[in-house]
Amino acid sequence: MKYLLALGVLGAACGGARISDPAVTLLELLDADGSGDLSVEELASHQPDRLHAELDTDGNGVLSVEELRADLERWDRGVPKRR
Amino acid sequence: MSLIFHLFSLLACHSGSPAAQPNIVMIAMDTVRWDRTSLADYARPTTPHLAEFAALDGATTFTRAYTDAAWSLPAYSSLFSGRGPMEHGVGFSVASLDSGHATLAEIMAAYGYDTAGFTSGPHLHASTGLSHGFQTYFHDEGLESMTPAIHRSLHWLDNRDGDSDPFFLFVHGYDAHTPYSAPAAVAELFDPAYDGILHKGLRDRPAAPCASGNPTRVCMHDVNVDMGEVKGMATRGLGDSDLEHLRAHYDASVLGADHQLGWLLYSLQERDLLEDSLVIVLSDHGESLGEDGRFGHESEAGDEVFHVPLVVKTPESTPPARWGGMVLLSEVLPTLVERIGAQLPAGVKSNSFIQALGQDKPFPDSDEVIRSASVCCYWVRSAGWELRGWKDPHRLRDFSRERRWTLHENGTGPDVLDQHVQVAENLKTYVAGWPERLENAASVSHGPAGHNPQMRKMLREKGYWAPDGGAVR
Repeated sequence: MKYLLALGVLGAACGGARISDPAVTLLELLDADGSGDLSVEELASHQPDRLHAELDTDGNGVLSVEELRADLERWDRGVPKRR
Repeated sequence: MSLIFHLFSLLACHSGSPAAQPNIVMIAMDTVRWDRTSLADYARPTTPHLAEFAALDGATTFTRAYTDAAWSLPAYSSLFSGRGPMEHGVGFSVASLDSGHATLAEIMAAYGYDTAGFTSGPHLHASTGLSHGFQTYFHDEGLESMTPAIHRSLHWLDNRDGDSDPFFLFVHGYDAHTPYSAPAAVAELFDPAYDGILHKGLRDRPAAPCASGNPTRVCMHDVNVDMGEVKGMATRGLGDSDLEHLRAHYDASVLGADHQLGWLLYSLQERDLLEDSLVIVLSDHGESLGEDGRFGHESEAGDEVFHVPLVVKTPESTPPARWGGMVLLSEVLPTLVERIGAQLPAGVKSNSFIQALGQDKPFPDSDEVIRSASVCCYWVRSAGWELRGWKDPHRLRDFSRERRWTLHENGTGPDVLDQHVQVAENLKTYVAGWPERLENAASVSHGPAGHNPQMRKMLREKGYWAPDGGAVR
């Protein structure tokens, strides 16, 4: 048993710090009520209704981490650095 | 017993001895200044993934890293050549990197590395010579987000031939650059109550949909804040709260850049390519956010444009460290050259900082000095002082006399040159001969891109080029 514990401790030590899933990190930053998804009110935008409707691809009324990821990592993400 | 456990840990925690020639990944987040990152304990959570990266085993955070020049063309020329701006001259006396100056990618390729670069923007166009040595080089013309570069680099990693060879991968994006167009979901995160003129359109330039055609995207360039003087913007109706909102947008853009960084690092981790690789994360320059009355970087000086994040993670299992000695981006090349056992190209005078990797040091030594340049200025930084040499004294807002030098304590505060003349004289010796070379900076600061009408047009729209073809002041 104590060897299993030692291996467990060792495993934790070896795991060390890791890079988090960035879409989850971002959702956690915005998710004020901790519900695991984003409401219109939680979206940081001066046009939250329009943005929410655009990102909510399944139309269920909340944004999931996958819907957030799909927008942030799409090929033409729409961050217009050129005119 | 504890010794046995420690030895067992060392053996078990690492997949093997670090390779003599590890894979090397260099990730450049354009326009991210040090003090707006989480590494500097900034109050806003702008760079959670950069902080995670700095906490990895083998990571060393350089808390006083500086760029050699305040805009991308000479900064990347220094990073890739290991030479200071007055040695390679790119953006100051010549328009592109001399093919006789071996680049980092050329050295890597010569030592058996597969080399690939994924980038964008006129300053990294192949015509500047910065693509030399990259066997695969993809370049978008606009100042693009890192998103397409990441897609392409992951595709390259997943499909490259001869994957037993080590690789050198460079990935770059302009996410934090003007016009501070953060991802829409976070664009208002740091100033959500703002409802001012930036959302309604300036007096002389009404708000308009973004060029992408997506009306929900936040497009700061629709209010034309690129590189302009605060004074100029104020005459068009921008007050303190508007300028503070611009700063909040910059921070949101840095968060957007950090998301891209996190995505790439996470993807490397998922492919088992993170732990055993040597990974460098940096920015090529910072951004002035009104400290000197202006926004931008090319024609600015000070810690806000020269002090940049630099984190180097080696494959070694050392605890994360923070090194407070002063280093320059041009010292990355000799460091990597030493790490892989390559020969330093003749004429490269920059020092390797390999001895700092894995080491802690809180402050620079009192005799450490670095020097940098921008279009406006030559700049000397020591542990306690900052000397600025101005090409155009009118920028000092001091029209009563022709002063060309200012001295600032610890990089901030008022000019105290009159009280510390000898300090200034000593620091001037580090940029002897630079003023003459700086006189030519405007005419060549954007290199061969000036010959490409499309890029020239884009540079002008970004504030890099005045209507008469000269660089913006």
